[in-house]
Amino acid sequence: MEVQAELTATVWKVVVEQGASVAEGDELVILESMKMEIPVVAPTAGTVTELKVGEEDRINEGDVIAVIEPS
Amino acid sequence: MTTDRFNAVEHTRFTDVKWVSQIGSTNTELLSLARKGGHEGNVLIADMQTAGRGRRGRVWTAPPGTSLMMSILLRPAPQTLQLANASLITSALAISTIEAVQALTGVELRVKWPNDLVVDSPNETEKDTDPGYRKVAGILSETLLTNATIDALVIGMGLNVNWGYVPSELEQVATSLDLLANSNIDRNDLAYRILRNFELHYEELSGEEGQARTLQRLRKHSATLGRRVVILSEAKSGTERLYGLAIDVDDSGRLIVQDDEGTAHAISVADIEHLRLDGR
Repeated sequence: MEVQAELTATVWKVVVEQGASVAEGDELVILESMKMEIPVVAPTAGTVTELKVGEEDRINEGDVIAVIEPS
Repeated sequence: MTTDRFNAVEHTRFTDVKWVSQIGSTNTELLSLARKGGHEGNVLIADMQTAGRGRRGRVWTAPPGTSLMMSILLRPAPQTLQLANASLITSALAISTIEAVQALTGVELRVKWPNDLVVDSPNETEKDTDPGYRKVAGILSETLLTNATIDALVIGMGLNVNWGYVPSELEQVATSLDLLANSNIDRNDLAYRILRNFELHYEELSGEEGQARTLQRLRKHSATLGRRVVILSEAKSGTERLYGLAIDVDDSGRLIVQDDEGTAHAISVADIEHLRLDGR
């Protein structure tokens, strides 16, 4: 399952590592845009098989942030 | 005589105001409440934060009881406030605070883009290392999204109220309202006034005209517009610097900076420093 960015932003913090197990609602990365910090959370429990962004990356709406293999 | 702690602000949505003596971070607590379905208008005020945060995880600390550390949980209606202009909520809280501080203490705070409240440096300290302002408050908004709309927004502020003195390591960085007003400040009264003002300014954001008025007030209270600035952006290759003149704030809250070649840049995420006219 792909987790996509819902807005244009900068990645200021990567919270999880590739390969990590996550529960639904766990923070994956935290974006910063327009004076706000916006956590991106796991939509489902599973394993983070791919992490496609790094800190300070500038990303656009629709960009894939991570891929989660549901457990 | 000082104002008692209050549990609600009359005639506003702030009907559930809680006070705690110590907490990790008021924003973190309200974000957690938001995830459990907490309603709009919850307010949390702490005497002391053990894990207070500013933007980008910067540590924000103050001795117990000397600062106003307050977070507010909001659930803006999706048909009125989109993500693109949600930063107006931060501006509305900044304006509400500026007006409350002015009314209670006579001190005039201004907004250093994007979300600090500052006063000018005292004239006698014109050192090269002086940034030109002293920080009095910082605001941090954190947003929970569902399908690209705002599910909840927690807006938190740390306001230096009764420090008594400025620690030497912060002399060129920060100051406190009591030192600016030469008197002790009634922190509870200040919190009440800020929330009362914020009810009006937040409500105003539900219409386009109100949003335009908020932007006008932000421009009026800006410490950054008209200043020569350097924009510091973190990139993989290191810190990038852009020098220019801060000429406007757009309706998404972006700072418009005109560089030395005359090209305008819309800045959404960066740190800025104000520069002196002589370029020092």
